[in-house]
Amino acid sequence: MYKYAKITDATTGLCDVGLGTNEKFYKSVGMSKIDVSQGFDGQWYLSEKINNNEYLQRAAEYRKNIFEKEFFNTSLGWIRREVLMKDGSSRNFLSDLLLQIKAGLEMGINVNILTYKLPDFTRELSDDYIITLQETKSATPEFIQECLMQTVTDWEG
Amino acid sequence: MALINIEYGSLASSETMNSNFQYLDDKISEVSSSFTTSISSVSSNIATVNANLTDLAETLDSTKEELKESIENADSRIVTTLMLPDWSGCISISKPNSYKAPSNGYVLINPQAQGSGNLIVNGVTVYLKYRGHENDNSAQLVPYPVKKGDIMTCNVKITAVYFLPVVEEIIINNEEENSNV
Repeated sequence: MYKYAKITDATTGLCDVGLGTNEKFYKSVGMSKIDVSQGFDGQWYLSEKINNNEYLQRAAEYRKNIFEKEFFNTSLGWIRREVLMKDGSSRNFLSDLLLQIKAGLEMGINVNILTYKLPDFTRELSDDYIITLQETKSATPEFIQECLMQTVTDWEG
Repeated sequence: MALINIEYGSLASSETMNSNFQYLDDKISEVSSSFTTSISSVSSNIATVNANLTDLAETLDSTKEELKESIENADSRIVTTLMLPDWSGCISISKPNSYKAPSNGYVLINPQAQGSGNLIVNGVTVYLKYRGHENDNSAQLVPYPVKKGDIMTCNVKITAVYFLPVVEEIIINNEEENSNV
């Protein structure tokens, strides 16, 4: 879309973009009407740059980094660190839920957990897409062990 | 009638004498009348001057009152000058490093939860965010005022940064005038 903008990085096509309608102000600060699009990271880029291979690679890397901060990997699949409960509150899987799951297993209760398949990082990681990756699995002692190891990894960095 | 000259040492008739006396009497009357007219004219002029002076004094009094009233009105009309955000001029900033403020305004910073660091404006460093936890709830949009030409650097990982210019708004008796500053 055409917006008042100023290119700040010719290589990536990154731009400062006027979001409002004050054309007089935008012209006064050296902006001109350019075809721009909002990118994977919320920043604005020249439209001609957002479909080249370099851009798509950076976008996939960016999404992968975010995903790996919000999820951790186990043999059952990826686990969301911050779990949204049915009452709207959120709990940290490792610090708030793991010991309860472990206690349930020790009592012989089958505890189902939500795991996630690895996403296609060339796609937008929208909530709707993430939900399609869900799988329900039964927790196992090995899974508990992996989660405890993840806690140690988080602790040690 | 004219004055009749009587030769020295000669005898003049009573008619000649009476004629001469009459002439002198007429002249005295004429001068007296002229003198009265002149005095009258001078008096009139003095009265006019007096009247003008009175008018002038009244005009000065009136002008002084009007001027005083105008000053009082001016004092009461200009209430205040406000710096208000102009969202129609909002800019999405791509690189918050060495960013030069294009006008007076606010820099709006939305830091990433797991980022920490400072904001540096014209070489002055202020703490922006010191917690780097991935679930830091304080990572919200924060406004910082800047003036035209200020150089800003933000070394916190950011989600987004915006520049929001301001308009100067003068409020006058419920009327509003504004202009970009």
